[in-house]
Amino acid sequence: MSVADTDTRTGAERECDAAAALVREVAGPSAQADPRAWVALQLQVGGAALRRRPGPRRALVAGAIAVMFAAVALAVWRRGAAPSGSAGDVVMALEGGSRARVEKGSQVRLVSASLVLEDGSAELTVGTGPGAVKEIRAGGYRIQAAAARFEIHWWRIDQRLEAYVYTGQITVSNERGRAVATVDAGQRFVTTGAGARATDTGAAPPPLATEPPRTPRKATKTDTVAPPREPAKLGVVATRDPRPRAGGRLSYDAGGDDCRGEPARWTFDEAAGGFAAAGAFTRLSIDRGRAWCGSGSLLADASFTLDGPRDERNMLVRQTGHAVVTLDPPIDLTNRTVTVHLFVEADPSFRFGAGFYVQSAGKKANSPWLQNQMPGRWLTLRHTYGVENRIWEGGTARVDAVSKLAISVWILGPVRISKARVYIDEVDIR
Amino acid sequence: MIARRAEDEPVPDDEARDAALVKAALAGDAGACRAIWELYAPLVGRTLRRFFATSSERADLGQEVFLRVFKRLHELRDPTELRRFVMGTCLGVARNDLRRRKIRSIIWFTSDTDQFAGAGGANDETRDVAVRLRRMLDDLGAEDRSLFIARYVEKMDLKEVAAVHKMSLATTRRRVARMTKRVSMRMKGDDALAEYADAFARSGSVSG
Repeated sequence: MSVADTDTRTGAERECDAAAALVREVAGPSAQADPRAWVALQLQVGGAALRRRPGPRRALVAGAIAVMFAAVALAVWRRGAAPSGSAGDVVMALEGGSRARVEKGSQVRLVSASLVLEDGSAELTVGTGPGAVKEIRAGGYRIQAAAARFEIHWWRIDQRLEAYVYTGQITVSNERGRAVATVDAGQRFVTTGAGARATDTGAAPPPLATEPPRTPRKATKTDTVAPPREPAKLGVVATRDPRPRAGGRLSYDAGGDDCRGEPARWTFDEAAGGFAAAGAFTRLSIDRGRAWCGSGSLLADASFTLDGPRDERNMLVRQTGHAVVTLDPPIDLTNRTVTVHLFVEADPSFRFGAGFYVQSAGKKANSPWLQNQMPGRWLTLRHTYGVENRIWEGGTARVDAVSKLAISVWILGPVRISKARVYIDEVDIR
Repeated sequence: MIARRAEDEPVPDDEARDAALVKAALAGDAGACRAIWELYAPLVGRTLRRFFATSSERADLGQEVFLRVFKRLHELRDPTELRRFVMGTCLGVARNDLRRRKIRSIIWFTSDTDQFAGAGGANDETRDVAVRLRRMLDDLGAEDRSLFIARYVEKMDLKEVAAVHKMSLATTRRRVARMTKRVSMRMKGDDALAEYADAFARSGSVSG
């Protein structure tokens, strides 16, 4: 029956019409094509696809060249060299020789000579030509540079801005145009609604147990920055491993209001709470430099690799790291919610997945897994278990006698070997 | 009589323009390629937005659509059929991506529910209905969702639906009827969606 040309529509078709109307309403009207998408498309096509189909001889030559390139790329990849961007990133050539790499899933606009980052991450290499794009705007901040290569991460939900400077120098201004920080090459600038700080992106800190307390380094011009919106906790430079002052505790409380309620079951302010490392996690310790709430978190040093042996699920053993705690006596998680906060510190190109699972009567029931995450931000994993829960092997499992809880982080690439520091905090069961 | 016309339905002038653009693009005219992209990027963007509510990969899929269009332009027998060709490619890319997502969600247990994050302007009730609708559409297979988008959302006639899905007319008619029944049953099975459909029918609005 033709739907288009008759008015004798069945009830089923009318229901489909209603659903379609809702889809149209929610999706909104057509938008104009974004010229930058054409630039990106040209970069992807490389001109080749716009030409006629190559003849057999040309195809042979093109094939041989492609095989050579693939061999070189494979060799580089196997050596663990990090490519300049992740798969799926969009590279844009901008005015004046500037160049932007926008991470997959990010939202950007180009307004006159500024790249406006609505959400996500972008890297800008400032060009030297006339009219060069020299600025990224994100959440009320303006990040400007004369000649620099820098990367901006803006999480709209968390109102958190991070800037990494590779070369040159950038100036961060607030929405009133007042410069709040100057960040040099090799430094990282972080600001949230709770405050702003700049850190050096140096080597990893020494182990906690062997290192005496260290006073924070002297404040620099980037330390006394004023946040653009709310009164900040100023003056303290959060180096990568700040130690508590004598008799005092540093409290970062990245969790904000989350930290004002009842403490979580595992706060990691004093002890590791029975957690043990497995897989790619090589060591667990208490870290006092970063916390979701309170003064400490569980730090897992991780050494991931996409080579080596595989486990019974055909997963690479060193691809995933686990922090595992045994629950004795076993507990019933039916209709209860498990919450985990974690932060991964690694090279900006590092991409990872995270989740947790519980083991009950020999069966593992996992939370939904977050995939393709990037380092440098707090993630919250939360899952409420039901009576029957889907499991990896197929079928379902009950969680009425949970004896183990494991928090897992796994590497997705693009590098095959990578070191990372995973901070876990405020693990709770409610 | 209910007036139903596919959005952006081509008119003869458009077809002549498309034919000229295809010929020029095949002759290596980069300006023609750009013109094709400018003409059809909004259509592709809109269709992908209607197919996938979330925004994370739509831009990439839009790129993928045009990469395929330009790579296969020489396969287009009738240059006046450019719009149909772009639409068919777009739905093909969307179907493939949806299948990949479903496989990924099975293998990795990821929660790949495609929710209407874009319903920001709507009130809570509409947003709730939109989320339920999206869940309902997630339960459909990739082909059913593609047929639904083409037939009911883009309002294509059966011939056009058949052309963009590379099916015979008889098969298209059968599969559209089957998809219609499935959507209808699911709409009836959800109280909020059933209520919305009733209200929609009472309002007498069909053309959207």
